[in-house]
Amino acid sequence: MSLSASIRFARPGFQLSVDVEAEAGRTLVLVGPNGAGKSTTIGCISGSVAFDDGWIRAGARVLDDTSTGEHIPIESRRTGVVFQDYLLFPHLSVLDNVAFGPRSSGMSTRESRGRAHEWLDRFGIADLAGRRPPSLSGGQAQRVALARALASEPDILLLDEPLSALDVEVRDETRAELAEHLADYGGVTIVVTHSRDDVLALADDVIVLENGSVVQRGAPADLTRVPATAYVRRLMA
Amino acid sequence: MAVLGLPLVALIVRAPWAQLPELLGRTETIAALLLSLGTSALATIVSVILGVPLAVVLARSASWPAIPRRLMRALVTVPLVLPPVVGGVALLLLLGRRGLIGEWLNAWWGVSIPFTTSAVMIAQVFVAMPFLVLAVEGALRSSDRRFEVVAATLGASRFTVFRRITLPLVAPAVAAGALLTFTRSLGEFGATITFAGSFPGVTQTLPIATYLELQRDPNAAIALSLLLMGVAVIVLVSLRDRWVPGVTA
Repeated sequence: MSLSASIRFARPGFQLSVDVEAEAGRTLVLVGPNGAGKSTTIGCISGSVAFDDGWIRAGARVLDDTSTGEHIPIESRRTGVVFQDYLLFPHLSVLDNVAFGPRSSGMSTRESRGRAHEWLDRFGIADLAGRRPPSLSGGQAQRVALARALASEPDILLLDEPLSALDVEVRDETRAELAEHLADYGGVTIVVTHSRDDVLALADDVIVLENGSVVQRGAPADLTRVPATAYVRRLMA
Repeated sequence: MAVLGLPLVALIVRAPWAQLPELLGRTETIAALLLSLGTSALATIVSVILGVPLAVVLARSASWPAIPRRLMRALVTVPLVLPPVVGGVALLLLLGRRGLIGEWLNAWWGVSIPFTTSAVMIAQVFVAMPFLVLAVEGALRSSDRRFEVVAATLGASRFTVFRRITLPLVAPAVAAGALLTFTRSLGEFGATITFAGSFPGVTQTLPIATYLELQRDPNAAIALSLLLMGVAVIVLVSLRDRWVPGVTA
């Protein structure tokens, strides 16, 4: 399965025009300065932001097509999202946060909790199962948010600045672990970041966005070797 | 502070403490207390059932045209600023024997609402429900809607999102609003006596009984006042840590 998107989005003072091709089993990193349109792009892919013109396809499935008016609602898109601040449901235990997706797909409470336990085990955080999200450290919350997104078995996984909320000391370790989990994941992954370290550690492919347009595409090494703009040169230096 | 506190001090100083058990043990008192507690509890339940969906609609109305949006907000706020007696008169004109709807209720079903226990409860809902609506609406507005987006990406239908995410996140506000609704219902006087009258055991609630006793037996009135104050204090204490933005604002 692959993701193919062509998105045109205009608001007063902001225009976004981006085409995205992403392969299953690979990680695409969207990088760019603040306000470049990175989060809007993944908002469009997740279905939470409506765009003006274009289409989004996941394999043979049309998620959006403005020319035919097709639009698959968020809950049916099979798109997992990890936000910058993780947004774990504060009133549910860690286990029930992770079980939320399986439960929503029609599993019984017991089955979905069993599934959630497997994910927590795989992430090495089974001991957190009974905890409430507000009591977790940033690194723990990040792992739970990723486990929760993966537990609903999405075709597409979207990570919006997944490491920027973490303290520097735990960021490297969490990033390395994230890279391992993403390598195990079989679907399309898109990571939004403005960090060079994230690009180098996570990306198979990179798209650089500036002011709502793509300024460069390639592998991380291409960006270092032939930076297309001053921003890219500074980013990879 | 003196203006606010001294009347309560007077109430406590002048209370006929020795006679209190006898005064509060009277059958009329107990009947009035039970009637008040029962109708207020019912009014609170009805307010939650009707008020929570209304709060959701209000909180999500940002994208509506200005006129219906403001009109709806005004309608919710009116009972807060309207003198309760006027509310009672309005309810009579709607549901009374000759009222807009009351006439038909009477003609078709033989139902007459004024001066019944139902009327007591309707008056309380009219006067007190806005407290709940505004508390819940405030909480909904300030809660992070991205939680709902995350829940949807995990495959939850809109109803599941509402039931498992939206509602639990504002549950403290629903509880605080319900408690305020309950106390406001318990203290309700003007709309009740206008729309429901004062029949002992049927529509004579505790505040109405207190007012009537004041002319007959002042000590009994003081005892009833203490009882009402006691309930208010209990509510205040239980609300202490749950004061939500929508209520105070």
